[in-house]
Amino acid sequence: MDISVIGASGGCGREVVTRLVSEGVLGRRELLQLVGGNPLSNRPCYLHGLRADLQDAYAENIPEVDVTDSADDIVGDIVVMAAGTTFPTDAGKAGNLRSRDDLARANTALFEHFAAAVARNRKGNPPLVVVLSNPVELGVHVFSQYLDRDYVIGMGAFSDSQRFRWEIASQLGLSRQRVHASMAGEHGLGMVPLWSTVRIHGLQNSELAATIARLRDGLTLSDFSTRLAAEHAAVMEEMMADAVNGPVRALARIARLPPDLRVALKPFPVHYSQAKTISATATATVELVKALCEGRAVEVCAQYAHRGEQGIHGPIGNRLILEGAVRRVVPGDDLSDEELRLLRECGERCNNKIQEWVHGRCV
Amino acid sequence: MADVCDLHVLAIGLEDRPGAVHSVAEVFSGRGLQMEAFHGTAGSLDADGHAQALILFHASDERADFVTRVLRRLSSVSQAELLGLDDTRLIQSVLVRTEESHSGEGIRCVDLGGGVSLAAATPMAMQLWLASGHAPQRLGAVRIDLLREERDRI
Repeated sequence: MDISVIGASGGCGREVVTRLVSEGVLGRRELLQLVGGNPLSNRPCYLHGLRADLQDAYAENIPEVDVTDSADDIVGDIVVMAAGTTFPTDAGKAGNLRSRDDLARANTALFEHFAAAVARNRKGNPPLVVVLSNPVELGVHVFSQYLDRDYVIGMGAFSDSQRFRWEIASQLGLSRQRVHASMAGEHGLGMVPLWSTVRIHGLQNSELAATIARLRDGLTLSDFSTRLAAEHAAVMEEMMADAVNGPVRALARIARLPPDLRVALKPFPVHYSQAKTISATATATVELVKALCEGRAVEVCAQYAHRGEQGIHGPIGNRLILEGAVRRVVPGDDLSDEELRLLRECGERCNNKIQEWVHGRCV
Repeated sequence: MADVCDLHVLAIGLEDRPGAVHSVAEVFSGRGLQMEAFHGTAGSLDADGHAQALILFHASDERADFVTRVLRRLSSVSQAELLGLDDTRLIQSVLVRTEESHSGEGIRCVDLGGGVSLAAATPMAMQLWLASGHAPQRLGAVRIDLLREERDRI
């Protein structure tokens, strides 16, 4: 399969590209396309240099690497959208609430530019678009306006689910491979932990239930969003008070919380420590791309433009069956009524927010 | 298949180095496209020093266009142009048994001696002639070439 990475010069895009090459995801005759196209870039030659560096480093198994600045040249069977503005990493400015709206409005134009180009040239043969850029729900929404929605997914919920598995596993002293869990909903403070999906290898029935209850530490799903908002405020206050050491103290605070809260909160101090979440995001992306390249049917939790599945409307994270494209949403008959209700509410909130970003009107 | 997939001709300018043709072939095989004919000339054999390949294949117009776009992204491909069979720059030729008469509109025959002639025509005319039943016995494969003017050199 050929893969195009839009925004390969960014931190996350470069990491994705490097991992795709170093892990031999592509054959030597397959195409890895590095797509730039930022007219405001102050380093227009970057991708050419990156290509040369990759060829030097991974000569033994380097695929065909193409560089282009034109969205109309995108030919990948899988297109990873990693371009766009990100939040600043200055913890002192972390409380600037306007930045999320500004981020969304800036990236809307970018999403539309690339979505329109891909649709223009690939209508009958669409690639699978994997959106990394934030807000990921916005990216999935925009691309789904131009392409068949079954060919557009967002990485947010996949990354969140991987983190959820890790938080549970590490607390139990297990390897992540022994834990299955899905974190759905919005990639951010609106995520919905699907505790009903948690499976821990070696634990069944009452022992599994008791372990989960211990992990949740009394935090119910109905209290989750309120508690999350409160903890988020505390974490942000910690970081804004001390831009240098605040993120470290925030991480220590978060470490004492239940796993579901840790998933939602940890990315903030990681981002504002200036390390960002590059490794986790890139690893999750490459894992998903590998599964797609192998042609296997896989179940993933990812953002998808729901249109009524499980009563959900909106581009939120949910469990999907992928076989080259989205084949179906996993039926939610193993979820609790409350989990389903929260997913539906999340979808509605997401839709309202997207309308505000895209059309500039509050709903 | 024939009624949804037209026959296309791709004229490709190649970097003259080992593996260039392999890269091109992978683009086709990776997409399940059969190359009906492949005619290639290495740069060392070409007066202009450019390696060239002509590939005939069946595909829908959209798929043919996409394959052409993919080929243009390869480092070994300097140019890729998708041609229709009615393109006047294309010439098909075939070795045939020399006969006194072999009516065929647009067909030109050159006697090579030994009872062998070279027949040449546009692809459309050649296809019609070969299918008509009036063509003499074929003594070789049907080949295709692209007429190049100085300014159109690939």
